[in-house]
Amino acid sequence: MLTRDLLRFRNLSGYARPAFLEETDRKTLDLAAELLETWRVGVESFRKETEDAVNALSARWTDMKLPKGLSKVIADASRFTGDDSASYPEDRAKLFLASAELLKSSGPLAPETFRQTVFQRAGVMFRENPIYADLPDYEKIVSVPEWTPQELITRYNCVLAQSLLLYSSSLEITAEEPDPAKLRRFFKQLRFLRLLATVSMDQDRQGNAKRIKVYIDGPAAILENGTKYGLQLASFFPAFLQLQSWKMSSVIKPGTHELKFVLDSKSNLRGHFGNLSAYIPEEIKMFVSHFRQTSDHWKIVPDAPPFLNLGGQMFLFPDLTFSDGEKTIHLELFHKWHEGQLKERLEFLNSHPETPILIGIDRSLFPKKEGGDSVIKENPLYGEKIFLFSGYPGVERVLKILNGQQQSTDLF
Amino acid sequence: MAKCLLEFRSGTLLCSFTECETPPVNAIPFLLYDERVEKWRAQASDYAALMRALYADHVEVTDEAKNYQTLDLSLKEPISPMPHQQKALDSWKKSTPPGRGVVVMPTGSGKTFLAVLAIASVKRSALVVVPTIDLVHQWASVLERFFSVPVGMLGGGSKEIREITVSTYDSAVIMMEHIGNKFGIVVFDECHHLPGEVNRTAAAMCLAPYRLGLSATPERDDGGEAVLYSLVGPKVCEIFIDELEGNVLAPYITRRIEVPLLPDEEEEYLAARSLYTGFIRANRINFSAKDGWSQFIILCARRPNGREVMKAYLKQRSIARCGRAKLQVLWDILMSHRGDRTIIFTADNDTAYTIGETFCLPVITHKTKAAERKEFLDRFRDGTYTVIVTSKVLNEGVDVPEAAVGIVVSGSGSTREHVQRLGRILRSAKGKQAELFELISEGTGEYYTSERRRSNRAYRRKG
Repeated sequence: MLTRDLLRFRNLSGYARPAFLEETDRKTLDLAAELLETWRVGVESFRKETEDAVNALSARWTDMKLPKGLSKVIADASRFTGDDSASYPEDRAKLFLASAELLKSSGPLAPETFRQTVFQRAGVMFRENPIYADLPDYEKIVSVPEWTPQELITRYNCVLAQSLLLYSSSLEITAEEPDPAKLRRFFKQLRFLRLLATVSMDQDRQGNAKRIKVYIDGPAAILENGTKYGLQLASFFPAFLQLQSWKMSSVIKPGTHELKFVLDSKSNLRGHFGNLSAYIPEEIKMFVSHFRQTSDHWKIVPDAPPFLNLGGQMFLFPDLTFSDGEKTIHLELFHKWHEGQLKERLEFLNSHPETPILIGIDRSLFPKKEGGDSVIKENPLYGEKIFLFSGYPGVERVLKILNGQQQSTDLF
Repeated sequence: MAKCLLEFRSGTLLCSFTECETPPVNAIPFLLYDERVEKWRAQASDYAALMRALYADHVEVTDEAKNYQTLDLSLKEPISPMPHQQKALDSWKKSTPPGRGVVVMPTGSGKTFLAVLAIASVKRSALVVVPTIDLVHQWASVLERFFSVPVGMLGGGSKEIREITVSTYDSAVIMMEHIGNKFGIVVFDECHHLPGEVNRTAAAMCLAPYRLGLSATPERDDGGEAVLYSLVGPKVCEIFIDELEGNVLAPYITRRIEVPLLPDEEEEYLAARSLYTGFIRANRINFSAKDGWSQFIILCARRPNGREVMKAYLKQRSIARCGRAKLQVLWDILMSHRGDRTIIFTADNDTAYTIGETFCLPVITHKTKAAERKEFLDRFRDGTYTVIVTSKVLNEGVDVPEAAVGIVVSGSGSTREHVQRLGRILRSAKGKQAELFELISEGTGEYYTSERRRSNRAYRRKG
């Protein structure tokens, strides 16, 4: 992140306008290239030497925050090590013992004589280096990221926006995203960062999910409007850069005044999580195809809402949604990597059995030697709403459960 | 009868009411309805007040929030409190609400022991929050000695929570949303750190009903003490340095020495100063204004001669803070106090390292690695080293009982900083006469800085 002194933004009528960089601007690309080169040349040298070189380079720019900010982004992704080639602490200890001895002795001493005598008595040599040459300034650079100048600029733009969000207390995001995998990632990140969301969804005339609106802050934010969650909100920022279309609005206080901070997908900001577009496993493609061939009564709903808000900060992302024209039932599958969420979901379903969801659980979640899957089989909803599968559920199994839903619903 | 389930969640309290449509009237001031989770939420620090309110409203409370213990604590070393400590303890216990408040006492007057007495009197799981790792170790060792129980530590790589735990402010801020219900009493040492935007969450997210703030100087330039008093409790007792001098604290004298600049330095200083002050006048920059400094920085970046002005500013400041003449006077003082435990204070790291390099002296700044810092302090305490140089990190907290001489080579205009520096040398010892020297470069802006920082009562009759 950029420190406050490196933030580049303007206050335009109460709005913070970050000075994002053009990824194609020749002058900026040249500066980025020069800075990356300066850092790369400095590998295995003292950090201070490279920072001095960056300072000299920065002095040529009217806006020194720009080169220094770019340099900070490089430094944050670089690795450093302390200077362990010299035994500075040991040598210093000898030096200070000698200096302490001499200070306790009697007789007048001129400072220069004192220094020479101390060095002689200590028998240590710091040569041309100062005696504190192992301070962080003298750390050695181990590695520098292998970015292109354009990648550095992309990162800088993202970091600049994140750094402004450090001074925010909440975020409001409106987004359109047809891909449930991306939304799942979005909410997963929200939860990972221990943020709370108030979610609402707009629908089009046909009742299809159109746009989600998410207000994000931390648990204590309603009690005190501080920036405690600023770091979490800033860390969350790259999570919504992946969405197809988004608009973010926040209030930040980077100085004495509050400013509105608004960004949208047209800002062309990109995160560095890589492409998170939905990967559809081969098994699910085969399941869908087989299901369509097998079932006349139940249909797979292609444009179902990407998630269900179960309340209490619990969101369900159905893997598949089925409809028989009257009822809509969602299927959520739990694999080995979903262990943590399963317990919570089972608790929810047991207390809200009317919820139209089915839970399929991969047997690999239960090692045989530890009692196996008996804990699931003992659940009162097992066979009715909960079922087990190995690897991936079969179409017949799912249809049987779906039909069971129909029968039990018909009873009422 | 209305019922309430009280839970501790993420550093806040969640309340679920049954058998009543709205929360009872006395509890309402502490509650806000949180639509995100469809429950009522309260600040954890309001736990005691909320419980009292619910009790007053005859609500049947299921308290799943509180997770601390009543301890069988007694002092293993039978030590009687000194009169000023007894007075402070009594005031804290009788405060409104009881067991909440800030005690103002000078460094060296036994704040730690007061906290021990407070913990022993309430007999609840206790958390002590301190500004530095050094203090974590220092407090842990004192608490273990008095209570003969293992003490947990949070910070500097330690993450061990026990019935009595000591934490840094940084770790407390990070951890409090998880551990804020585990302590019945929380002590904030050097509590003037608490009102900071981030640090205050350590107090807000903790439900401890008993709270004690300790500081020699709780007032803040930003008026943040109001936040302190709201989160910890009101100022319940204040004891001044001069009330304890010669009895609890060592007798002391302060000396301000004006050092003339050397002729070549003076010439350089005046040239740089003239360029810098001319720029300020021309641009009508007012450093008394809140944004004066940032305005200066912005204009230095924008104006054609701005960079030159910034260099001139730094130059004149560096000459005033640590010119060659000052170094000579510093050396003369060291020579006249050979063998006396001396701390040299500077305003910045560069000056501290310049002195360390020039006179081969150990320097402690925030850059000093933990192991070496400990070694320096241990050797200073046992008398192996008699002089130590520091910028600001030893201003407060670290226990250096034997120091008798303080030399302020440079400093800010902060009264707190100056009182803290004086406090470093006042711990009482037999026959000890403490001396605080303040070196200021004659004819420079340092004079006015010195005048500002000496406005505390502790300096009015001295020097």
